[in-house]
Amino acid sequence: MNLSTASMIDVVFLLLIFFLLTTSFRLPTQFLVTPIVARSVSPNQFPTEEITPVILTMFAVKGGAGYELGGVKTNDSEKIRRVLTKMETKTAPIFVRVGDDIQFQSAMTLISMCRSCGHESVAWFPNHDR
Amino acid sequence: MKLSQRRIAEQVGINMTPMIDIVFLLIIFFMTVSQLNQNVLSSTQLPVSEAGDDGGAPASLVLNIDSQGQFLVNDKVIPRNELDSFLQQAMERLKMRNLTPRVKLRCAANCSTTEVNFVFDRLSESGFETVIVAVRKQ
Repeated sequence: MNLSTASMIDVVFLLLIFFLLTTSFRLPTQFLVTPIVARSVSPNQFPTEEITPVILTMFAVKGGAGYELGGVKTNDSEKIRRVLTKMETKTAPIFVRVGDDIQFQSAMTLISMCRSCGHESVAWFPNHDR
Repeated sequence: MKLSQRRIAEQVGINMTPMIDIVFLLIIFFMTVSQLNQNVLSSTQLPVSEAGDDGGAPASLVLNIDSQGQFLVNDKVIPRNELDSFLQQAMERLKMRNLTPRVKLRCAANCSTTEVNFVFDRLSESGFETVIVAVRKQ
């Protein structure tokens, strides 16, 4: 009794080609959960003194982006990182107000910088003047 | 009676030819039926982020913004002026089915924040409070 295995090699090749065609490779994806500040909310009218949101504004400048935090304007994101790290209260919400005509990557870099500096509550503040 | 001692040894083997035909048919079947999934998880180049997690529960709506600023849901382009009504209908459907409105946003890294701000504003107006932004971990 002989079992011819020559055809089995063909079958294996065919299966290999099938799985090569149907396999898709994806980079691992992670997620940033970002609340949206509602239109009805104004950062200036928070009811209690305990919650004072921090407004972090990002705007387009020639060659990149500028930042404004607590009245301080700068083009250096590392300066913003130092300020965020040194902030005593990390529980206050940060409202990130991103201007138009900026690359989305830059906005995400800013939000993830806030998170990695220990601020968990980072919300996107859309441009409500539309 | 003289029996021949030379017996032709019969080769007993399994004929593989029909099996190859069946394999071919199966391959053709799967190639025509299976969809090479590039719908929602298309070749959008996601932004890179230092922070990120698994995002919690699955999203009830996945919205894509490509590098040209087009809004796509399940590979279908949503015109800018129809986004509002689309989101409101989506919100109504989610409420009817008692599902938590969670939007997953897959936005190209080089997309302009003009479009993103517009989408966030429209989402907020439609009642979506949280957006889960897809990123690539640094």
